[in-house]
Amino acid sequence: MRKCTVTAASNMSGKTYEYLCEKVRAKFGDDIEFTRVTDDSVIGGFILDLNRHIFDLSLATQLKAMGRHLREE
Amino acid sequence: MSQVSQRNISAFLKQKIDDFNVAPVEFVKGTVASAGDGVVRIASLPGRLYGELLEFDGGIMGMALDLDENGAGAVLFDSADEVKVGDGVRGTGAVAEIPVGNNVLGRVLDPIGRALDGGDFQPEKYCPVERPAPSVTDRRPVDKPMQTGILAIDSMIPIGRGQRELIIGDRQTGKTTIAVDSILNQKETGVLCVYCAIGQKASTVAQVIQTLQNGGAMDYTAVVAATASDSPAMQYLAPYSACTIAEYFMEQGKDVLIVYDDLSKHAVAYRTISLLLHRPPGREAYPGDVFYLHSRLLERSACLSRRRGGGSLTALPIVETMENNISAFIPTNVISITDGQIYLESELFHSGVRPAVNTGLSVSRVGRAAQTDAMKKVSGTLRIDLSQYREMAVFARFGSDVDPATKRLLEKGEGLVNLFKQGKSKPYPLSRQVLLLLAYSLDLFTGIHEKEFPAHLADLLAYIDASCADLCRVIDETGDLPEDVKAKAEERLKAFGQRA
Repeated sequence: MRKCTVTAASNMSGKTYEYLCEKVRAKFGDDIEFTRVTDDSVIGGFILDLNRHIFDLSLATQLKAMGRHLREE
Repeated sequence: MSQVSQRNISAFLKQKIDDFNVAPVEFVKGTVASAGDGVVRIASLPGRLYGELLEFDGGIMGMALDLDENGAGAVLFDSADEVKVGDGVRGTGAVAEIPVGNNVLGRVLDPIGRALDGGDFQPEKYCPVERPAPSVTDRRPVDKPMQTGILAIDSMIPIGRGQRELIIGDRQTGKTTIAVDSILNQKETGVLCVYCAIGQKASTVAQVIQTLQNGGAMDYTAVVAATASDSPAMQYLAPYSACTIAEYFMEQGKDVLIVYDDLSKHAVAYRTISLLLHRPPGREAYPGDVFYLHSRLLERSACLSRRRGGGSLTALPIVETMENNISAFIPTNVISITDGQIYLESELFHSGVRPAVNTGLSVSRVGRAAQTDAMKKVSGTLRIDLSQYREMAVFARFGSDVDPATKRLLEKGEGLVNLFKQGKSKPYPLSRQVLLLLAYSLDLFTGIHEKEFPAHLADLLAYIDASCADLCRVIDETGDLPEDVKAKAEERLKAFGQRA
C-alpha cells in the first residue's frame, strides 16, 4: 500500500477531499492510503506527497514563484 | 528592472503578472540517509546539479557537492543540528546566488547574502556565486597602477589593476594590515573594494570593519564574512560570493579591489568538507581538486577589454604560512596561480621593519608596466640599493672598520630601510611617495639615526605639504614627473636638507 499525504491550509470539505482522492487513485492506482495534514504556511491550495513524489499546488509556492518572476529582468 | 519608471510601474507589473504561468510544481523528495558535522548524504534524489541549492524540511538550506546515481552528498549552510535522518529534502533547481548592486556597498553580508550588520536590506539583483572567468579575448594587458599607498610596495612591487598579487607570511606579520591599508588608499580614486573574511575570528573581522569605518572606506567597500564559527560550507562559499559582488562592478566598467583574507583557511574549510564527504585525501589531506578551488576563483580577476567595458578586478589573496615555509602545498599552489607575491617575514616584523616586506622574495610579475611614469623615474635603483645594503650589512657585522664608500652605502641603505617603515592606516599619496624617493636619492636620509628618523621624516612631510603643494598637484594629476618639476623639487628638497 502506498501512502499519500494531502496538506492544505485548512480542513478541506469532505466532498472536495473525496474528489481529490478519487482523481489521484484514477491516475496512480487504487493501492493508495490517504492522510490529511493541515499547515497554515500553505496559505491556499494543497500539496500532495505520494511516496516522496510531490505535487505542489499551494498558493505559497505560487506566490514565491511569482516573486522570482517579478525580480527577473 | 532598472528602466521601470514611476509612470509605467503599474503597466510593468500587470504585464509581468499576465506573463506569469501558474503551473503545479512537481518534484521528487529525497531522504536524509545520514547527517553529521554539517554534511548529509541523501538517498533517492536523482538528477541534481553540482552546486544546486537543496531545501530540507523546516526550510534549512544546503548545497549538493557530491552527486551519484541515486542521491547526493551535501553541505548545510547552518542549523546543522536540526537535520535528522529520514527528513525530506528537495532540489530547488537553482544554484547559490548572492545579491549584487550598489546597495551592497557599506554592508556586511554573509556568503548567501544575508545582512550581518542589521538593518533593512533590499537586494537589487542576484547573480550566481560560481561563474566562469572572462575568456582570453575579453581581457587586455594590465597597465594601470593600483596604488596601495605603501611606499615599499608601490615603488618596488607595483600592483596593476586586474592583477592577482598574493600577500603571504606567517601569522602576525601584518598581512591584513597591508590589505586594509590598500583599501583605505582607494578613497576618492573611484576604485570600489570588497573585503572577504574567511574563517577569521569574529572579533578580528569587527576590528577590520571598524578600521574601514574610521577611515571612511565603508562608503565604497562591501564586506563578505564567514567567521570561524560559521559552517565549513559558508567558509567555502565566501570568496566566490565576494568575487561575484566584485565582478558585478567590474562588468559595469569600474575598477575593483578584492581582498581574500585568507585562502589557507578557505582550503582548510574545503578539506573538512571533502573529508566528511569521504573524498580521497591527497597531499596534506587536501582533496585532489584543491588547486582548481583557488585557480577558478583567482582567474575571475581580470582587466577587461574595452569591448567588455574596460573594468578591472584586482585580487589581493592572503595566505598564511607556518614557520616561514612558503613551499607548503597551499602556498606553492597560490604562488603559481597569482601574478606575484608580497612576502612578509616575522623576523623583519619583530625587528621593527613594518610593513615587514622581504624585498628579495617579493615580486610583481606585471612589474613596471603597472607603474606611473613619476614612480618609474625615482624608483629605478631601489631594489639594487637595498640588496647591496643587506649584503654589505652582513659583512659589516663582523668588523667595525669599513672604508668610507662602504660606510656611506650602509648609511644610505639604513636610511632607505627606515623610509620604508610606514605606520598602520597611513597610506602616502603618489606625490609624497615620489618626493620622498627623490629626497632619498639626494641623500636626505643618509646618516640619520634610527631613533631620530621618525621626527626627521615628519618634518620633511610637513615641509613637502607646505612648500611643494604645487609640485604635488602636478604629480598627482599627471602621474608624471616632468624635468622642470623634478628640478624644482630637487632644489626645494636640497634647501630642506641644508636647513636640517
